[in-house]
Amino acid sequence: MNGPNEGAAARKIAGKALLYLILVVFCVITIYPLVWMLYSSVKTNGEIMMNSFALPSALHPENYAKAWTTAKIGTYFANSLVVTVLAIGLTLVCGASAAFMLAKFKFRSRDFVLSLFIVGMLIPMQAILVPLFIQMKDLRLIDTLASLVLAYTAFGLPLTIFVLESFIRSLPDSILEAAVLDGASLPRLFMCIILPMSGPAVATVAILNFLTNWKEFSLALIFISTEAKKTLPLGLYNFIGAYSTDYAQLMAAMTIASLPLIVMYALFQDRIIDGMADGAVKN
Amino acid sequence: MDSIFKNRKYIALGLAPAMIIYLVFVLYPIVRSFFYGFYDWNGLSKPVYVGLSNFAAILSDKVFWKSFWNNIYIVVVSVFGQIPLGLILAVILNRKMRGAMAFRFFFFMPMILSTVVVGLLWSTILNSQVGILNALLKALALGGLAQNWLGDPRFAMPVVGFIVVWQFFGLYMVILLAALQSIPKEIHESAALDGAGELTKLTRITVPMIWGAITASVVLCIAGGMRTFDLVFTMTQGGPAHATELMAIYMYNKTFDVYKYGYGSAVSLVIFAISFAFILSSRALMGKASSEGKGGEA
Amino acid sequence: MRIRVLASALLFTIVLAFASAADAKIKFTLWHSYIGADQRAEFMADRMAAFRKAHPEIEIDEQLIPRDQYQTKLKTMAAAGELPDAFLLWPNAMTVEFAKAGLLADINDLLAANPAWKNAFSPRALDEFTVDGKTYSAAEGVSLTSIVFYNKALFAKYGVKYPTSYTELKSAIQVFAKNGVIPIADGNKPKWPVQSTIFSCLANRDTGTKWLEDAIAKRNGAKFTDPVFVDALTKLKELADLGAFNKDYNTIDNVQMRSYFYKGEAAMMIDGSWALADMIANAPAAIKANTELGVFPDLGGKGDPKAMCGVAATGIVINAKASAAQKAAIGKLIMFLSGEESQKLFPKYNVPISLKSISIDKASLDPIYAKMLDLIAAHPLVTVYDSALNSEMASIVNDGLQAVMIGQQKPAELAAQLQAALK
Repeated sequence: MNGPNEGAAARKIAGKALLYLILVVFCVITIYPLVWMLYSSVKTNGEIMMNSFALPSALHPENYAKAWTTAKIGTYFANSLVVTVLAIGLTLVCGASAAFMLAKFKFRSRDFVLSLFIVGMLIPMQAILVPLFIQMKDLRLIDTLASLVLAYTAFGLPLTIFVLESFIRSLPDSILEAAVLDGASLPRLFMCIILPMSGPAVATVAILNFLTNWKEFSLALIFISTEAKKTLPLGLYNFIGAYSTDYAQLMAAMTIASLPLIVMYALFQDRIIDGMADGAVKN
Repeated sequence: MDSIFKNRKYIALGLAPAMIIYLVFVLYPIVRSFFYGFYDWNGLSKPVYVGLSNFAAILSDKVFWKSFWNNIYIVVVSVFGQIPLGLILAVILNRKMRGAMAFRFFFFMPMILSTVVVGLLWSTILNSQVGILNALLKALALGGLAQNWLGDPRFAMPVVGFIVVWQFFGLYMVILLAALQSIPKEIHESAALDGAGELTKLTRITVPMIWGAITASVVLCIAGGMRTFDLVFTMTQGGPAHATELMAIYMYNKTFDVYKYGYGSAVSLVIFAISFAFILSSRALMGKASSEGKGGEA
Repeated sequence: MRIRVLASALLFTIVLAFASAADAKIKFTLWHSYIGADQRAEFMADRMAAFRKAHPEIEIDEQLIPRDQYQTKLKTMAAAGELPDAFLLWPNAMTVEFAKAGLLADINDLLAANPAWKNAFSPRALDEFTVDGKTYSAAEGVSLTSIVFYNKALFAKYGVKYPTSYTELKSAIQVFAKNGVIPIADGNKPKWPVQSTIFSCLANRDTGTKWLEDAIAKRNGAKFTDPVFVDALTKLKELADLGAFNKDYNTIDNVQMRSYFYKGEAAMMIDGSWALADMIANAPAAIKANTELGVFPDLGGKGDPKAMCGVAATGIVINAKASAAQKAAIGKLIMFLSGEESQKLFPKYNVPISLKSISIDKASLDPIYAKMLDLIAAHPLVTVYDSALNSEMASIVNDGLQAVMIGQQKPAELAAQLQAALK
């Protein structure tokens, strides 16, 4: 009756159930803070002070309207968007081309150049605030969004180049050789073979840069003075006053701030997973 | 082939845009900041040259060494926590299973939250007076396990390590997922036909084929671990009594709290040197391993 | 011929008049951290609007920077040589550092020219901004740092009298702790609260003010390793060991600690007058009705048992590189913000004044604010440790107190460390 196959099938189901259970538990631990932020954002400040974990007794969506207008979130949002998108674009263009060089081209200083890019990841931001500020001041870029775009690009390059380089390096040389034999020029190689084949990596790097730039705070604090040019993270700190914090509005503002990230990730998730069905497999 | 891939002009052109931006906005300021390390400067008056005395003071400061070991702790926890976790989840979720998309989405969420929210939330959960963790333990009749999580020097660092892993494991899951995409399905299928079990497939095929991405992840872990600042600063400010002090926090305090700007710059130079040494050695170690198992052609 | 000369002279004068009229607006940049939801921010916004209306010839480029980041940004700008024309500065250590670096312009002439304004201040408001005889600002208020807020209903419930001695304090703590009430709510994550609100007063009870001044100046043989100081540290540790504070006191800050008091879970809370605005706005009415304000008990030492700790609030300083016209304009702003007219509005925003006295209708004040005014009137103010010490030693004290309270450092060791750091 209970042959070995049925036993094996039962074990498989039990195994799967266990797996799902673990994954769900992980999920709860992972997602709870986001949920907490959400339901705190529709409570009143007093309610939050009294019991941080209770569900709201009544919903207060007006926190969002207040956060949006009182803190001029609209302006900050737009600035963050402009800076982030421009920086990502610049980073990807410069970074992908540099990564291609470092991955597939042969030159003596290759290792040195790669190490140089790693250096940029090893310093805490606080250490370079002053020299970087002086640099921007000398270039007359202080209090401009351009200063942020350039700085974010520069600081995004190490991670971008690093990740893309390791991906591109693992792409089979045979494909490139075949293309060259077919008479492809370098730009064509880059645009039609390397970039498409690195789809997942490019998408990953794009998301990571989006995250980092969107949340970046220290540089924005130091470079930007004009209200109208401030980015979102600066705006969020407006809610944390010296002697009291308006937690409810802060949560609402943070939810608004997190939305683009969530959207971006949802969009790019597909690209990462499915984007590469074509590339590496078809030799 | 070589005419293209060794062509100096092409190489220079391809590298130029990145190099220029990087040189001007990253390397030059970094070098400049190292420069200050040799001066005694309060950030307000003129700097005074003091040679190596900042470095001597750093190396003899107990608090610095405490923060150094804390950083090492975080790096180790990150490398051996985030990467295996990310890898296993990536492998599991790489298949066609129900809810994979949802899981992949949720596991990435911690990365999206700003450090203010993460710090605030976890401090509240772990609060020994009103936090739900202790309340939960008591409800499960495990009240004896309830601790002053962030306020007790014995537990503060492990707890902080856990939260760091919590926030970043999604990152490595995503990177490794992307890497897994480049493994042709046929390889796994033919290995399965040859009788290879899950574990064998993982260790003999998958891992070697994405070794490049794993190495990159380790480097990122080390770099990130050495630089950690925001999250820990928000939650504990390096306390209690320096239990969770990190080198970046130490540097920040010296620079902005007690007006020792030159000293702070010296600390960042030390952070850099140590990080660099770690990364070089890790790449050497991993490079050796990879030259045997690196995949390539399909 | 004469007419021609006259006409061109007239024309010239007219042109000159227009030219200077066009330049007549004096501009300066002002940075401060009064941003966000609290009452000081409202006060500042209100006053700046009033000032602008009263002085249309002055144009102010005002920049609001969040409190937590203000010092970082300011010090970064200082290091890069880009300080604004006028900015908010903290008294004592910070003013000393900036003044000694030659970054500030003093207001001695402004004070001399306006004796009525100058003499209305309580001494702290000016002294704490004075370095080597030069005064750099006038404080926009004086903060009491060691007010003991206590819940008289809880005291009555457990039959505890407000402590007037160390023994009574200890037994009060024990009674409350036994009954599951937090004796003293505390939040010391940023490390300065215990030093500023509790320890400064406690130590002063034991050592007296003169000892501290002597120890810092290294005269009369006073040292931090003296028994009076070590004893103060030991007392603090004793209180912590008795369970005087909420268990999470090292993981929350001094804003979060107030919720214990507001919820009626804490019998006492020791905080500064800056807490008033928050309390008046956010505490439930039932708690406010039962809140009394007291001073630290008499510990029987050398210090004045009636003393309270106080420190000047922030003030606006002038960049040394500002032009004469800018200095004059900023001077007007300083006078405006700290003068009688503005200070009359402080009670409305629940900020303690920095004048010696002010004529206000007591009935219009919030009862808690009125109680605070009574405290100020009845108790002399002594200094706070992070005012008296330079920033490096203050940092040692802050870190050290936290370490001593959790048993990571012995009182004698901290005392020795402080003495060694004295230059």
